[in-house]
Amino acid sequence: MEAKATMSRVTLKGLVKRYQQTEVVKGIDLAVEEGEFIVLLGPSGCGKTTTLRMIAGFTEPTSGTVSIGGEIVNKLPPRARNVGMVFQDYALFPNMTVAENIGFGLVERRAAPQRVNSRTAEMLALIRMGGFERRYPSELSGGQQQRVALARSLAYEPRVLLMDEPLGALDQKLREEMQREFTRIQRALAITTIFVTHDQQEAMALADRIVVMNAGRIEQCGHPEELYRNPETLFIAKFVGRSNLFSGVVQSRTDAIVIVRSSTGHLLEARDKGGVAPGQQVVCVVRPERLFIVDLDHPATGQNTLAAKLLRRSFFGSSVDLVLLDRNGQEIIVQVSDGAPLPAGEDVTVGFAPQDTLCFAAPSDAAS
Amino acid sequence: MKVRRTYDLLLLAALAVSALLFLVPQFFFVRQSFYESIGMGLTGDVLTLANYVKILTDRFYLEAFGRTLALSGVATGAGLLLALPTAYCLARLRSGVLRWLVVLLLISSFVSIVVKVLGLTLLLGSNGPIPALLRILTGGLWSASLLYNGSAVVIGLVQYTLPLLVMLLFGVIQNIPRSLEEAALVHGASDWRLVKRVLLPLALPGLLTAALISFNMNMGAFTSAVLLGGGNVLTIPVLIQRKIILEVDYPAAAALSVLLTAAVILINLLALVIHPRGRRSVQIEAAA
Repeated sequence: MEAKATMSRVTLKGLVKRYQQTEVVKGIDLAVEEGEFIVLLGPSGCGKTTTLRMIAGFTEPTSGTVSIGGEIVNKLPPRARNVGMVFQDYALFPNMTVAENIGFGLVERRAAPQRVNSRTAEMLALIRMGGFERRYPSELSGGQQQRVALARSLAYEPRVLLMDEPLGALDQKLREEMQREFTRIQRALAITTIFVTHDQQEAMALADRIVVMNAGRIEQCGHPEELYRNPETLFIAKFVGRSNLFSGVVQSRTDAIVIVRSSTGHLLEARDKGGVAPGQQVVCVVRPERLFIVDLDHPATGQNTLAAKLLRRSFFGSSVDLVLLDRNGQEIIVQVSDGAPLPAGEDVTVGFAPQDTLCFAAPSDAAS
Repeated sequence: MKVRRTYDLLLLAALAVSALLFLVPQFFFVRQSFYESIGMGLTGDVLTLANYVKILTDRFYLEAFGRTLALSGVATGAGLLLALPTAYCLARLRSGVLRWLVVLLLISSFVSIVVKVLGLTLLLGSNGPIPALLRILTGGLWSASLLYNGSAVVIGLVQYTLPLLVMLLFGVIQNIPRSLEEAALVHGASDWRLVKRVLLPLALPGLLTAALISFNMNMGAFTSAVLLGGGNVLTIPVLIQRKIILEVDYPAAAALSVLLTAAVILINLLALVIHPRGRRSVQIEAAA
């Protein structure tokens, strides 16, 4: 049991991938624990897929090592790594039936026919698709195809399951259903899983731990809640969850508390996240659900406040977004559970607590 | 709607021209094969099957048919073997080099077959570099000519069809998503098993089409057979030409042509009948 606990650990050390002049992955260090569901999250071109492909063995690292179960696998071809992989376009073999697809890995490993059959039946039960054995992939819906692809990559009991944006081609409702399905199956098998996506909601729904990547590097790594509540960089704050951004200049600082004069002329008290100094250009970040409309029931004592004008309400069932405009005409989003029936155009005051206001150094170039 | 109608009419016009220029002469041609030659390029006026009976009962002609089939078959097989790896590499290349390679290929396919064949006679002729090399390698043991025999004709046919085969197979391979190969490899297939279980089955319909097109071209190839065979390799197209030019026997030439065409059509139909169900090619598109 002790040995098995490390058998499917995936460790990346100083992983770099360079294509001619461009460095796509710039040094990744990551340890994925046995049975952990890791999501590599980042915008397109951040190197997450390249990292996954280096783990699978399709791409050779320029430097650094990939180890699975303590063994360095850099030189091993994909088939010798004993990993499963689910592709964005499903990549089911169109010339084979569902059963032949699922049994593919076992047949290639020269398993006995009885073993192939029993394991295929088990997998079909796992993905709740019994009775589909003889269908061809073209006769299945997108969701069914992806479930078969998952079963195919699990049938031969790989050490690690890799998934490359497997839900990208599905519509929102089906995607959420498949996310629940993936979580159920991953928990049932306790298989170490590395999942790549650019969709932060998907990452939050699935991950034990999210690894946020940006420009070839790991920006931050942690539990979804930790990333959301305690982003370490402005990139994380903007990329994980929704944020309101207020730019301004630091006026003064006491320990980790800074006073910022916002570009709209308000004084904001904020938690320093970037080691900022007085006079520095900064961006303050506040989550939409941390904002409120100041009224008799919600006084502004001890809170940051901003003057704004209500632009419109957007109703989402469980919550309401109030879209406001500040003095500079910049949008502020306030998420409330039930929107007070304020008329559009009403002048309001927005309040938010200093501990919910995170202050980051402003990016040096305007583009980011 | 009106625009659409005009468009259809334009298509019809093209069809009419094709029909006029192709089908009408064919009709007279086929009709001619049913009359007897009375010499000097003249034909009799009694309908007869004599031309066909003569060809189908004469060993000489039957052997010529066999020879034509064998040469075409071998050339098709060799062409596919050469074209498939090339097409695969071209299709999987991701750089800008690809466009230029395909353009080069296209240009080479426009070069007249006569030019290509004459180039081959220089290469293979007894004073050419290839026989010279063979003489050196075998220490003078090799003295046989490389020209004017069946293998020379096969080489010519392969050169003739190769650019087209590569282009056709390039399209076939490009239609097979790369992710299918990666899926096969990551799930445990060796390179050979990947080819056997995934690539070949998926490429088969396209492969068959390419093979048939190349085979049909080979069956009708005249220039390679006559220039590289040099009178030693009598294929049906060569015999047809001889019947017309040397013997001025139009009906016999017509009958040979009709039989050649019939044989080609028959083989194509046969290939389509035994061809594994067409649904698989549809599925590639569905998966892509």
